Amino acid sequence: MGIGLGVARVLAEAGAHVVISSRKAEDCARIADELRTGGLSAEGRACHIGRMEDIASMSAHLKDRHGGLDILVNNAVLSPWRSIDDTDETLFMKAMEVNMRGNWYLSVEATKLMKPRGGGSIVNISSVAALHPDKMLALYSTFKTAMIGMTRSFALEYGEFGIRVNTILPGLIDTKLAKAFEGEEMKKIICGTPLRRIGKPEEIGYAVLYLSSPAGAFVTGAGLVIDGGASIASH
Amino acid sequence: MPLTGQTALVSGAARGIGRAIALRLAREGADVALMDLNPAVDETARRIRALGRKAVAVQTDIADATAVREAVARIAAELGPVDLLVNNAGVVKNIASVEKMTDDAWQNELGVNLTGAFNLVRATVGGMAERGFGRIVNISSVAARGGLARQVGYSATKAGLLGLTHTVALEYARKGVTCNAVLPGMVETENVKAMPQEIRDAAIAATPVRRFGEPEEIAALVVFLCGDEAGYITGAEIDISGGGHLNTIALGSRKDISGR
Repeated sequence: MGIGLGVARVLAEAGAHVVISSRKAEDCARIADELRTGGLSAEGRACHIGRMEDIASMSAHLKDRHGGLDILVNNAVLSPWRSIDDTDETLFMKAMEVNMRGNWYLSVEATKLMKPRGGGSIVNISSVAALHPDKMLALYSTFKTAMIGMTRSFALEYGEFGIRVNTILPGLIDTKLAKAFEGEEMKKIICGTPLRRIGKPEEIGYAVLYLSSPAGAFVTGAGLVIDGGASIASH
Repeated sequence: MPLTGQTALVSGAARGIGRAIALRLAREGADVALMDLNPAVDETARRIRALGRKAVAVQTDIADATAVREAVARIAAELGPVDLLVNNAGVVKNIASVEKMTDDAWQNELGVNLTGAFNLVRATVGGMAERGFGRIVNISSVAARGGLARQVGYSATKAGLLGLTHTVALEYARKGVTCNAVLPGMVETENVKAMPQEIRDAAIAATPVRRFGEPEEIAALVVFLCGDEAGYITGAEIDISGGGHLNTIALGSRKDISGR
């Protein structure tokens, strides 16, 4: 389970209808089926946020089918493992289109769908790598930092419409990506984390739920680090 | 109820944000110890008992380490050891420029806002670590980062709480204790309600969501941080300001935002 699915599950369990979105339609449908089998309300709909036409089509669907949107979680990301020297312009632009332009314009569309409802919640999933970058992940780290700036700017401009925009900065979470770290390497990560464990996808979900519920109604432009204390330990 | 069986300690619980936090913790099932020099703290205790929870109100000067140790022992005897500590007490003794800040005011603000929080942490965290569970929430302020003209003691002590937060988080994470900081912006407390209307209007205009926060909203964040679902959050600093902490002075945007 990735962070996106962890968030989707928590929001669905709290009563939301969740549109599961990813690049591949069959993946979206499979996850939505899984949630529906568990008695939750979900649908799958493919959207490649690197493509402007996909964003437009998602926005139209949300408007026509659901009459708007209450919560947007920007979780999709492209994270190529590459040194800066090896990062050519094509790769840069591809990462920019997904990690920056995609999140930006999906958020802009969301604000249009939220305004008539008197507000909404946008949660941007950044990373502790935004503050403490990793080698070989410069494109990921850089655009995760940009997400913090995007969060603050959107919060400032859309606050008066009741639209709140916040960012979560997860540390290492137990997903497919974490499986890449094994044995000694994982031991080192856990030793460097004050709580001595990695996080669970649903722990990011709970924070999205808090930020998007009435309990979080005065929180906007905030960044919430969820990393078991790892970032205060190593810097 | 999620906090049933737990004992909470809230400093500065007679009024405002502290009272809202204490009441909310009680509604979630916790028994609550209240500390405040203001006798109105007894009224908060009465309201908690009316909710069916146990409450102890102690009028303790938290700047006094000995008094804090004695009070914590008394709380432990009456309610059990403290599981949840909320360092909320804060004072502003003098609204004055740095040069005009008096020694007394500085020492008093330092004593209550920072030493008081340290005293309370020191008196309770060892027990939390022994039992393998604890939650500490420090109520800082957006002034910790942005500063506050003519309130040097307040902003400096609120920034000091962030250092306290990080260090406690680091030292006690392995023992099951998390420690986080909450940074409120303008909140509708008695003091804020009493501000001149023109100052209130200007501050609201500079707040992206166009209103001040309610004490209950700060309490909701504290309850979230005390719950199981926030178990992976430690050493964090969380702004809760309606966007008021965003730098609205930069690049002329304050003019835009208040000109609407």
